[in-house]
Amino acid sequence: MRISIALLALLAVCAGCATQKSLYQWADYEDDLYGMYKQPEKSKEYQETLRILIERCDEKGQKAPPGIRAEYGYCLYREGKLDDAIASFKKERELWPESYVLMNTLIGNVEKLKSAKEIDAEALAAEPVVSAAPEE
Amino acid sequence: MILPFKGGKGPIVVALSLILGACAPKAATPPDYSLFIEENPRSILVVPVLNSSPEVGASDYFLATITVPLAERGYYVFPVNLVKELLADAGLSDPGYVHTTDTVKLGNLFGADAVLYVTIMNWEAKYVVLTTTVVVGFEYELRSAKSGQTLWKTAETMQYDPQVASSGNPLADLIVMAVEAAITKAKPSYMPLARQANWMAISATHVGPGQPKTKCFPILIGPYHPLYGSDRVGVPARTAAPSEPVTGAEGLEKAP
Repeated sequence: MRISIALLALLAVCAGCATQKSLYQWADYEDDLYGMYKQPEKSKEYQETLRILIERCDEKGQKAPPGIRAEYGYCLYREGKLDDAIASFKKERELWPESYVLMNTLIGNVEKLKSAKEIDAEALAAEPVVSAAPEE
Repeated sequence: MILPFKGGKGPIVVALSLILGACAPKAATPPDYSLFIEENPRSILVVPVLNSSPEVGASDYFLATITVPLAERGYYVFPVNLVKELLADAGLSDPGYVHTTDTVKLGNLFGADAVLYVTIMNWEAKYVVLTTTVVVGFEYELRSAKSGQTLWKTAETMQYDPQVASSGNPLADLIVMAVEAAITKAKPSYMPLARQANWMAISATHVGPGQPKTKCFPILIGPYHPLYGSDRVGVPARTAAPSEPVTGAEGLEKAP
């Protein structure tokens, strides 16, 4: 029934845009974002949809829709994949110059976080050596 | 429209009617697009949605429907979920608070040209004896992130009424109606209605077929759309006026 209502809605809406093609492909973006808001445990499905959407756009040499690579980058950041997150934000910035300010902020913040983590990791790796060192 | 009810009697045909809300009901005369044209925004930041309906999750659900129509209209739309999360991190998760913060400051934070404020007026299913009516209603206001002024404003309401086509058997009709109403009530389909309301508000130039020829006043077509500029012909930009020497002369004449 949901589908039939959607169809009806589409028909009515497209009275004014009969000749117009859509600018982008969206896959299940709307449905899966809604799904995640309805059930937060479905966030993986949303992330997967973003990934597939980006992949499809890349295959066809199309631009990913506005914001999609930024959303995906944020999912990667949440997973702790900081390098991948930065790469995704950079791609968004490259595709959409309007995102420049926001992407720069995000890239800067994630890079800071990354170097902080690296320092922590170095400290952690260095720790046994320090504790074993006789001069302390 | 066929609803495949399972019950041995085969599919029962139910006619569903969707009542289209007339777009921008108050706008008898075209709104002033001159500031919009002058500022020529390329990007839109959608901030968390203010919810005046009793439905708790409506703000988020709405957010899932707003990106596509704006992007398809030719604008860069800031990633709505990311923006929501960032604002929440910054202690700005309350839509009521975000809607009252300075538009220019908010816009600058994200590098946005314009900010879209949406208020949910209706998001409800009304169960009346044997039918369920689903209604969504929104108010939209696009404000400039340069000046804070309103660039575009509208309201849209969409209503869904299931109507049962008479089969000639009053008892059968009654059963179908009751089943249909129960289904709608159990799982009201807000999302298609919300999507349609957005399309009507943002893109429609006229209301749908069979409706009175009311003109709609959508958001002007944005820079990523192939028809960009086509709806700005004959609408003088506000900047054009002061640069004309006549205006300057008039101004001088009127000066004391």
